[in-house]
Order: sequence, then C-alpha cells, then structure tokens
Amino acid sequence: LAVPLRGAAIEYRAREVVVATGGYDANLWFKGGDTPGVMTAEGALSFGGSDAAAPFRKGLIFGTGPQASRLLARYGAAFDALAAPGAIAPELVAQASALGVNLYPRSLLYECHGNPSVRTVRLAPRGGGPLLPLSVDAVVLAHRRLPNVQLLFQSGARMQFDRPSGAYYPAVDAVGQTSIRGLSAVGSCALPAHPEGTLPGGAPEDSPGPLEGYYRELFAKPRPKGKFVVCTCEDVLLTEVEDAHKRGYRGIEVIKRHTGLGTGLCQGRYCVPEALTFLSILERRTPAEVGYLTQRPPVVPVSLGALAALPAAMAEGEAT
Amino acid sequence: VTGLPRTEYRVAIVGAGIVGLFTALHVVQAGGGPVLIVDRGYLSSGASGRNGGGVRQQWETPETVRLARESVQAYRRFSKELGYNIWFRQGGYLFLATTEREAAQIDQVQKTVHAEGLPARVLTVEQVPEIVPQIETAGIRLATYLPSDGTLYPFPAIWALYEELGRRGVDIALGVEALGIRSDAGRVTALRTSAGEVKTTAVVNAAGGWSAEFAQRCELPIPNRPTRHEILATEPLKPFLTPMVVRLSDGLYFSQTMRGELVGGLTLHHPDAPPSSMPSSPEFLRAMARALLSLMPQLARLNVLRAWSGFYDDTPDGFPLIGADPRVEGFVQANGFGGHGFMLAPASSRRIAQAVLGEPVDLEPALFGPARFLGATPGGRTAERLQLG
Repeated sequence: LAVPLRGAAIEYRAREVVVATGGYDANLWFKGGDTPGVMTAEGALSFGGSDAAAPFRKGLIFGTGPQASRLLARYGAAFDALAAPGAIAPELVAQASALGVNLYPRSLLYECHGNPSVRTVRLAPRGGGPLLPLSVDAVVLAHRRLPNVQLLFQSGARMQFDRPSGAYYPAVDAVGQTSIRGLSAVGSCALPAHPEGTLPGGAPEDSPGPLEGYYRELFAKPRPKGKFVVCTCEDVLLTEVEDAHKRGYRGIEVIKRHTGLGTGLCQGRYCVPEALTFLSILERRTPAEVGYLTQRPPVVPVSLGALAALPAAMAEGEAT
Repeated sequence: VTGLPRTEYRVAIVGAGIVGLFTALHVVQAGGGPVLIVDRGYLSSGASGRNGGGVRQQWETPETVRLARESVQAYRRFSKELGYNIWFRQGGYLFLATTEREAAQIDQVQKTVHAEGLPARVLTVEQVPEIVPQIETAGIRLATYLPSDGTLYPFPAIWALYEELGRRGVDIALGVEALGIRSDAGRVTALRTSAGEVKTTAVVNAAGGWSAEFAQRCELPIPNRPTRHEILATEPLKPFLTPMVVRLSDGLYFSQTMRGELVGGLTLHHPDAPPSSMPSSPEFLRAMARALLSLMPQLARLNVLRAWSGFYDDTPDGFPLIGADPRVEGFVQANGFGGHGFMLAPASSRRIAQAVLGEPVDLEPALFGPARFLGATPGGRTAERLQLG
C-alpha cells in the first residue's frame, strides 16, 4: 500500500490490509447536470465551517438518501423543495414540512436550466403527467451513495455488481474477507446499504433494480433541447454515447475509448456507474455484462514529485 | 453450424488490431474478399489500444525507414480518406543521446534517415532548447530531430477502419478466439475458432502479443516473445510540447496529446508475464516520474491520472515478421512489430495483403520474411535495435 503524503510517498507493508474507504454521493444523469449550482450532498455540506451559511437560498434536494436529512438539518430553510424518485419516508416528510420545504415524491429529475447558474428545474411525475417547473438556485443530489472500491478493483479482488445501487462491490464473506488472502473490506465500501427511503427497492438482486427503472422512464421521455452532458470532466454528451452504440460499439471499455467518458480527472467515479446502467438498457443486457473499467493506478491523481519519491524498496517488489 | 456469419471465407485474419484491420482493408480493396477477422478481446483491447501514438521515421535500417515513411504519408491522408479525425500531428521526434555510444548511434541513424531523403538534423546540446525550451540539457551530448515524425490518437484510427470494413462487408467477430488451423497436403483449409470452424485458404496471424501462442496452436512455432511495457497519462496542460521526446539511455518517450495530457513510458525489464495479465507497477510509476523530472523538473506538481500496460511482440532481430510462412501454404505471418505496429501498419499491411493474395511482396524477404527464423543457422544478419518504451 503506497500513500502519498505532503508531496512525498510512504510505503506500508502488512500481512493484513483492511479497506474501509467508505463511500461517496452518486451523480445522476439529467439534462443540465453540468450547470453550475448542481452538486452532490457532500459537496454542499463541505462549504465553509459547520455553521457557515448555505451557498444557495432556494435549493432543491433530489433524493431521500441518508444525506437528505443531514442537508435539511444543516441548511434548513435554504431549501425550497425536496424531490425524490420514489416515496418520501414519514420522518423526512415531518422534518421538511417543519421547515416549509415543498415535497415532490415520485419524480424524475428531467432537466435543469440557468446561466450562469441554476435558475429552474423541471420535474417529470413518475408514470406520466405534465412537467413541473420549479424556480430554484441549486440542485443537491442525495439519492444514493456509491462505494470507494478503486483499491479493491486494483488488488484484483473479485467484484460483483449490485443492481439496486448501480455499483460494483467486493465479494466478501461474513467477516469481510475478499477473494484475496489478507485483504478485507469493511463498512460501506463492502456492503450495499439500501436504507429505507432511497430509490424504492425491495427487488431481488438479480432483477433490474429501481435505478434501471428510473433511467428507463427518463429516457423514454422526449429528450429536452440542448446539450446533455454525461461526463463533466471531459464534456462527453449523451448523444455521443448513443452514437457510439449506433455505430456498433458495445461494452463499457469500448464506449469509454470511443467517447472519452470516464477518462478525466475523476477517472469515471461519477459517470461510469450511471453509464453502466444506461448501457445495460441500450444493449439489452445486465450492467455486469456491459463490463467494468479496469481501475488504473494511482487511485487518486498523484503528482510526479510524489511518485518519484516512492521508496525504491517498493519498486523492487510486486504491486501490493 | 458456427456462430459466424458465413461458413466459408477467402481470407481469415486473426487479430482485430491495427495490422489486422489495415490488412483486411487492403485485401478487400484488391477484391480479395470475403474476409473474416476474429479477435478474442474487445476492439482496441490489445496493443493497438494501449500505445503512445508515436509515428516515427528515424530508424537504424533503410528498409524500416521506408516502411515508416510510407506509413506517415498514409496517416497524413487517413482522416480525409476514412472520415475520422485521428489527430495526426507532425510535431517531430527529438532523440536525446547522453553517452558517447548513443551519440554515435543516433548520428548514424541521422545519416541513414537523411540518405532516404528525410531531413533529419543533428542538434548540439545548445540547439535542443530551440525545439523544447523546457528541457534540462545537463547530461545531453547530442540530439537528432525530424520534424515530419508525428503523433496520432490511436483509437479513432481503429474506429475508422472498423466502420469502413463493416461498410465493405468484412465480418469482424469480437470475443471469438482462434484455436488453430486445419490443413491438407500442406495447404490451409480452415480456421478453427471458439465460435466454430470456417473454411478458408488463407489465414493471417496478426495477433500481436498473442502471435506466438496462436502460431504454436497451429504447430507453426515462431520465435516471437511478448514483453509487457507500461505507460502513463497525466492531467492536461496547456499545449507546450511540440515533438515526441525520446531518450536512448532509458528508453524514455513522452509527448503531449491534442487534449493536453502528457503520455509516455520508458523501458523496464519485466519478467515474462502471461499475456492475459496487464497490471501496472509502482516500480514503473517511480521510474517514469524520476525520468520525466530529470528532463523537466518543473513538472513535479503535475498529477498522474492513470497508468496501464500492454504487450510488445518482440522478434529476436527487431524486424517484424511479415510474409507467407513456407511451412504451410496459405498461412501468412503479420506480427512481431515490437511496439511499432501502429507506426508501421499502413505500409506493412499493404505488403501483408500482397502475401495473402499471392502477389510478389514489395519487401526484403531476408529481413522480414518468416524463412529467416527457419534456417539451420540463424544470426549474423542486420538487426533493428531502435526500440523505446
């Protein structure tokens, strides 16, 4: 395990490595998702100190994941609305209502507009009906969490796709042991958590999950006008992904190389999970069959200076 | 019954990399179809999707210079002819020598290249900053520079050929593994694949790093060895670097892509690894970072985004293996490019197609042909040693 630290690098050797890298808030594909003012919950929560004012005045929370309640507790009346792909749990309804936040359960996040930043959002009711315009100045995504599994991928541990959360997790036994001896995974990077109130679940693991249902319904609708960016690092458009499919390219590895999706600063952390689910719909096969991207080292961008400072002893050994 | 569109092809090509695809194009352009290409991976899964995109014409032997020069001409026309922008940019190749022996080597290369009509120049250490002002010149003895060398983006070249071949009726079966051939009375009669057997009288071994393995399955052994090489890409910078920079002492090469990233590698000797395994090593990240910083210390804060590896298909003498295999009629070798498949593919594939179609091959057989490895006393011939990365 090599760790960059203040411009240098440290190597740790251990008989047992326990990966407890936790998770991060997922992105969501919708037209206008690249508009300034669209952010993840942890993005919103990281502004200023714990008592800093909200960086918006009429925000929309999308989703009812564990972060939604945290956002309401932190920024309160700076939110105007809370929309969710499914039902909203009674406790969250109570918390939001007490703050005067309007509730829009069973909604698709159809599009977002604004220049230079978010001004309007249009929701589409699940199951059909007229679009609902909302005047907001921020969109905060709190619909689901994804695991930080890059280290586990790189180690070669066996991974499995969890359809409800739309992400790969390591296959672990009851004590977190992965398929690699001496490598364990614990916490939210190991076990798919489907807390009450996230995307409506309950489906068996090998059947299309609610995420696939959400995207099926969204993409069955007429496409809003304008650029639909799906990889914000490299400005890849949804139409470019669809064009690659029409030209006969199949599988995430080839779509990545054809469109550049997932090759930017985030190395696919924010777009590839959505792309897997989207491609599984286009290619009419499971997300696991669409494949996964080989995770390339380093896990996070590391400077040449830090890499040059890696100890030589490590360079002589095998990658660990 | 097979999982392939036809039961019989005139030509079956093993490997959907740049060499296999280009060869198919030349064959169908000459009316030599129907053609089948099989590849056990996905499109661009092998070295054609893993290389640094360099296309150089500076080589030790005139024969390689000629193949490279013709290939550069083909890549100049490629985007227009095939309707896909491959971002071919002729920014030149800057060779750096740090020892007396290397200086003598690139001096000789310059003479060879110049004699072929290409304006390669020898540069003194003082002239190097005229080409790349950011280079730390301490330790450099001599440099050569050929402005018409270049770089391209490999993927769109693959897509362009794939789609053009589709329009021309070539069947490309991905995820289908070649298992061997059938022959009768010393002639190829069929290709066996994981999707069934197809009749054919011509099989082309364009399997890159897997060529020796496929040849072995056909009981036609070749002395090629796959060697694993690594490469990395950084975050993008504003364009500042015109040429591909290479240093002989450690095989370092790096260039700046059209999207601003630095992409490059260097020579590390990895113990033999099975071609299915393509990991990246901390050893490479360290060595590459140190090598880059020795030439451009100001890059210390530049972030590396990813590293990956791929296979060179090396032959004992450094020349590719191109031509009809004398052991079985209809079996054509198209491999052994040693990390230079992309840069030599256009010109080489035209000659591979000639061999497939039974036409005279416009190439020195003693240097490139399979017979050179089948004699009782190999060795003593010319070698092409100018390998980087």
